[in-house]
This record gives sequence, C-alpha cells and structure tokens, in this order.
Amino acid sequence: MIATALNVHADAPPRITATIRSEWTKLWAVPSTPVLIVITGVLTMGFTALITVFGGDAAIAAPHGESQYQTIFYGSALGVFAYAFLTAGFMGSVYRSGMIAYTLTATSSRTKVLLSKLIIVAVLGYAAGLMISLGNLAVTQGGLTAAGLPLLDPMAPSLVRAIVVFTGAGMMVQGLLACMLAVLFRNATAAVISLVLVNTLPVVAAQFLGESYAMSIPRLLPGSLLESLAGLSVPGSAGYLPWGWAMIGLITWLSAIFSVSLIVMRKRDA
Amino acid sequence: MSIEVAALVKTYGEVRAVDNLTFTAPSGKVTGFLGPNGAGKSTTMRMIIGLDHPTSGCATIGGRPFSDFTNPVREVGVLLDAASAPSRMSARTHLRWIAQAARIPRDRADEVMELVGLGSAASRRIGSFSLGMRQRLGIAVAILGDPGTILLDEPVNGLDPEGIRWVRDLMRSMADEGRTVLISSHLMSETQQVADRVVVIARGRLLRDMPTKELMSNVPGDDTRVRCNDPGALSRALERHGARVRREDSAAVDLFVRGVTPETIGEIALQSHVVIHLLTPVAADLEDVFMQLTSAENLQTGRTAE
Ligand SMILES: Nc1ncnc2c1ncn2[C@@H]1O[C@H](COP(=O)(O)OP(=O)(O)OP(=O)(O)O)[C@@H](O)[C@H]1O
Ligand SMILES: [Mg+2]
Repeated sequence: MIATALNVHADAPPRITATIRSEWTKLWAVPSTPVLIVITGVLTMGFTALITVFGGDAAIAAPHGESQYQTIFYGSALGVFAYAFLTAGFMGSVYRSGMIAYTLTATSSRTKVLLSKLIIVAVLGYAAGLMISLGNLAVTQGGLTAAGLPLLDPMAPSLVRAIVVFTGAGMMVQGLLACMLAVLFRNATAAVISLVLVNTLPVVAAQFLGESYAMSIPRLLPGSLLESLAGLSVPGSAGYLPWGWAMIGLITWLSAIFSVSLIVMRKRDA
Repeated sequence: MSIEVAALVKTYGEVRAVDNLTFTAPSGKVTGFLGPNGAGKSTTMRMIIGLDHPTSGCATIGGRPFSDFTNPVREVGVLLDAASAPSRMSARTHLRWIAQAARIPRDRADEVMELVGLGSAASRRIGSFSLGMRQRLGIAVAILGDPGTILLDEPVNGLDPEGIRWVRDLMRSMADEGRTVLISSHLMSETQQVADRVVVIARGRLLRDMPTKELMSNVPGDDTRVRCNDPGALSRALERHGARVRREDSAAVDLFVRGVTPETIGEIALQSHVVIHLLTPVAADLEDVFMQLTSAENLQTGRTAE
C-alpha cells in the first residue's frame, strides 16, 4: 500500500530563509567544510605564530614604513584564500556533481539559490575571519610575552579597526568573489586561480607599467581596498585609498561580479 | 495539472536534440515517454522543469512554466539522474536539505525512506549505494513533497523485478489519485504495462502520441510459425486464402503466417497435401514494433535531408 499523503500545516510558500537553511545543511553535510575551516584557521594563526616567534621584535616593528600592525595580518592572506577555496567549492561542486538539478528542482528561482549561498558565504566568512583575527592577536601577544617584548595595546583604535575589519571583511569579500566566479567557471579551482590572478597580476604588472599605473590601478584591487578599509595602508602609499572610497570600490567589485554571475546562472543551461 | 509541451526545440550546435515536439501528458494518467537512446527524452524533461532553456517553443505544467512555481517540491516531483545524487552525503541529509528548501517537516524524509524501502540505509553515505538503491532514493526525492505532477526519467533503471513492480504500482496509484505521471523509458515492454498513453519520439521528433491500447492495436497481429515439407506450395495456397506469408529470407524453411488461425492453416495444408512439421503461434514483439516505428523515422529523416 502506497501512502504518499503528506500533512503539512497551512501552506506558506518558502521564503529565502528556507533556501538559506537548506544550503546551510548542504554546506555542512560534506566533510570538507569543517576541514577547510580548520585549515584556514591553522594556516593564518600558524603563520602569525611563525612570524612572531622567528621575526620577533623586528617583524612586529613594521618594516618598510608599513602600518604598525600589518605584519600580524600577514597570515591572513593564506586563510582568506583557503576560505575562497571553500566558497568556490560550495558553488563549483554543485555543477560538478549534478547537484544543480536537485537544487533547482527544490528551489526554482536561481536568484534565490545564488543569494542564499552568498549570504552564507558572507556571514560565515566574516564570523570565521573575526575569530581568526582574535586568535592571531592572542598568538602574537603570546609570542611577544614569551620573547619578553612589550605587548600590543588591544584597545588602540587602529588595532581594533584592523582586527574587526581586515580578516573578516577579507574572507567575506574574497569568499564572495570566489563563489561568484565559480558560477562562471563551474569549477572551484579555476575560480580560485582567477581570483588570485585578479588580486596579484595588476600588482606584478606595476613593476613594468610605470609610475602613473602603479599609483592608480593596484590600489583599486580587492586586496588593496580591504587593506585601506582596515586602515592597514599608510596614507599616501601606492595602495592607499580613504576608507569611504575603499568601501565604494569593494561594493563596485561585488556588484559587478554579482550581476555577471547572476545573468550567467539564469541564462545558461544548468 | 497536465504537462504541456508545445513546439519545443533544443539544438546543440548541429544536433537537433528536440525537434518541434508537441504533446500533452494529462492528469490522472500515466504517460509513457518512449524513445531510443539519444532520442531527446532527458533533454525534453530538463526543459519541462526549467533546467535547460528551449531554443524555441515552451513547456508548461498546469499552464505555468516551472520557474513560476514558488514551492516546486510540493507540486512537481522529479527524478532525473539518480546516479548524480551527492555521494558524500547520507541519504537522510540529502532528503532533509530538499525538505528544508520546501518547508516540509523533517520527519517526512524518514517517512519516504521507509516508503521506498531504504529505511535501514537512511544514514548511510549515498556513495555506498547500489544503482537500484540510488534509484529508490531518487524516487523518494520525487515523492517527498507529495506532488500532483511527477516526472521520472528511466525510473526502473537498475531496479530488481520486485522494484520494477513496486514503481509500476506506485505510478498507477498516483495516477489513479488524479496526479499527472510522465515516465520515460527506452523499452516499450517496460512501459506498456503501466502507461495509459504513450508518446514515442526518435531523433527529437514525435512519432506517436496515443493511448497505449490504440498503439497496441496498430501492432500487427500475432504470427504463426509454420515448418512443412513444401513451403512454396503451402505459401501459395495460404495466400489464395487471404493470408500474408513472410519468410525471414528466401532460403529460410519456416513461414510466418498472419491473418489466418492455426486451425485454418492446418486445413489448408491438408487440402494442399502438405505435411506440417511445426505449427506455433509467435507473440508480436513490442520491441520490434518500436524498432519499426523508429527506423521508419530514420528513413524519413534520411529522405528529407537530401
Ligand atoms: N549538453 C549537451 N550538449 C550537447 N549535446 C547534448 C547535450 N545534452 C544532450 N545532447 C544530445 O541531445 C540528444 C538527446 O539526448 P538525450 O539525453 O535527451 O536523449 P535520451 O532520449 O534521454 O537518451 P537515453 O535513453 O540514452 O537517456 C543526444 O544526441 C545528445 O547527444
Ligand atoms: Mg536520457
């Protein structure tokens, strides 16, 4: 006897929260998610520990006139890209495994699916980034204590700003970009490689393209904008922009890539 | 809600995977969607549920495109490619995330697992499932939201005989409850037992769209196989009595006779002084009919291409 009847209370159509919940379940249902999050944390904090232990005073003492705190965030780049790999996989694996068919028959709106994934990537990225920042601070302070050096003042406004903004916003923004690029490439690795290229190629090119290029283009890259936003760029340096402009720059990057990925997702066959 | 496909076309470069296809799968009926490998069945189904965009034409469910359904799981059940279920997830988790997207209570996941006979495997990784188990899981996904319309692409693929019976019964009972059921297959024999209607396609084109009974009655009647000491004389005598006689080739000994009963054949043989060695009825092979249909289409496209 085949009883298929389903009793559900009054039938409100699912909102985006339902899609977000479902994407959240999907994200944690694969073992690679917690593994990658742990790797992200270990990479950044481990790197910070290395710098503190081996670089000691000299490393913390801001080489080449960079911001005082920049060195304690050196490890962030590694963590940010580990997270980008996770978010690109979150989108890319959907295409690789044929999950897209299940996803789009459960939620017919592609916009809703893309937005849900991006909301998760943004919130999780910021939360993980903040934790990692705090962990980094603890590691640094521990290293300084062990070396008998003076501690950083955790209440210094510029340090608070860097901690609250840099790694969290970095993981959020680069994670979002990687996730959206994965819609275009349908492949996590290609998305991460292109993200790394976008962030680094123009900086490398600056060595060859002369002063006016070096003083204008590289500061507009997502990575540089994040440093400006976090107050890690020294005013007047090649990477610097006032934080308001940096914010506008980041929003422009995100909206541009979002529009392209949304159009592609809607127009292309699943 | 009936499924309506109207002048649907899908081209991939030079390949016309679906070529001006029009048909309706009405509610309360099981519609069999038949065609040989590469006929365009899966492509058509993917367009019905909005995964792929038609090159032209349209496909709707209850008059609405799939993208208009705000809670598709509750209205349209789909089984496409059971092999593509996420192998690293447990079966239960897979059903749960789909239930969450549709705001279906999580207990329902376990309920449908029981229903498809996977109750004891619910927490196992899908990667460890056999093809038949994946197929059952795919059917569990399709019936999760108790939908009024259901599309299954080759649902009995990989199922054991008990499983095949079970799918048939399930389809039958769903249609009897007034739901719309569309199931694809490349085997006529498999479909004919459960489908009320059949839509036959080949090379993306519609060949037949009719009640299964009608298609069956178009099927040439049963043959009688006759072996005798003088095939030439017997076939001339039979033909004089209005029977159609066929040999597999000119050298073959056996005659295939149609249009007269075995009793008549015996009497005619007696009158013609022919000794019968063998007289057996041969049931019409539905696969043959299907092959005839689809190869006729091949000839046609060959001609129009010139
Ligand atoms: N994404 C694609 N790109 C190019 N060609 C495709 C694509 N999808 C399908 N085709 C082609 O379209 C035609 C129809 O394929 P389809 O999968 O719909 O057939 P089918 O009837 O489901 O066959 P089967 O019984 O083997 O499942 C085939 O010639 C196939 O090669
Ligand atoms: Mg197919």
